[in-house]
Amino acid sequence: MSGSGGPGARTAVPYAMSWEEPSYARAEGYDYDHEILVALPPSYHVAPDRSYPVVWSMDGAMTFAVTAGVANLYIVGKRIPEIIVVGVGHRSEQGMLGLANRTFDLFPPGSVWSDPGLGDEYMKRMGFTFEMSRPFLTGDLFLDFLVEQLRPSLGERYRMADDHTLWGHSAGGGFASYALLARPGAFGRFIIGSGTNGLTIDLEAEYAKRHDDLDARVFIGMADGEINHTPLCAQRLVSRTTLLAENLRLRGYPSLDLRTRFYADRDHFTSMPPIIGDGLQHVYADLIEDLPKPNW
Amino acid sequence: MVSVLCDTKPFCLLCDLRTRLYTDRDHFTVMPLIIANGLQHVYADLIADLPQLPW
Repeated sequence: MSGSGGPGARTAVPYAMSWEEPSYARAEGYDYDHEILVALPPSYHVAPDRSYPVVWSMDGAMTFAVTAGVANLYIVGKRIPEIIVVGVGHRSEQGMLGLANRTFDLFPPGSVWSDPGLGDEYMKRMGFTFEMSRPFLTGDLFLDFLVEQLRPSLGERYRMADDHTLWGHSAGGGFASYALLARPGAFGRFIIGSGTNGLTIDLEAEYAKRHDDLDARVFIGMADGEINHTPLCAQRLVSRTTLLAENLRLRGYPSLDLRTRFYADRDHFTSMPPIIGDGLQHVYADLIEDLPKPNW
Repeated sequence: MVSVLCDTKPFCLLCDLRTRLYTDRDHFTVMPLIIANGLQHVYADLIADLPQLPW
């Protein structure tokens, strides 16, 4: 082996993703900025002619680190191809309070959070009122922002392949499932974690009336702990997400590659790491067949 | 392979040991779960008083 810097020294092959400084973007129709976080794949700075698939991770800093972390690990392990991870959410300095923006960003107009009867009554008793948010729901604008504004903007800065995955959990999962059906083709791969809403169930039925195929690779994950959590039951989190998965499978779309998993002994939060890992493996399965596997 | 790092638990009052075997995982894909469950276990004594989120 050559000593470092000596004649014939090997160029080190980077194995860690690199994180860019946060940037900010204002979506059309919004009066506040979103924070944009980007993690570049290990070979990015030594392979200038290469472009990379992109995972768009919802909920900004809350899920960006774990998404990029699991992605980094699975890239090193040759479980997935090298990818760029983009996190979009509220500004980090707003702290947990900024998470309130996700209600506006991730729910499109017409979203059905709970449902009439048991669920709705429980939410009202507990003081969760979705009605006040209704006039401010901008999930449709947020989807436009991601696809029409942010994607071309970041595409000028980074070498992004025209291969886009949308990943979201909870409200983010609802948003991802909405995007799948409201704007088919805008993303080709989806990781949907524990969440959809009544609007998406209706959208799925409407989509089926007008289409005989859905070209997408989709992973849906849920946790058994969510069924044992009353507020999540009131939002029909597991039942609606399951219904979406079942209906999509029943359609028999020839170009839809769908896999759904239930995680035992996990809750709404702790299910995220395996959903990310398994989701990435599923949605990129067509790209990893030829990857050399390490002997671990 | 299962490594037994501590076999004195029945007699050791200081040792809070928990071992899990994960199914459907390999040497690499098991890591996110080990990290997450490991963090929850080793910090369990510090989180008892943390306010719980409604999730």
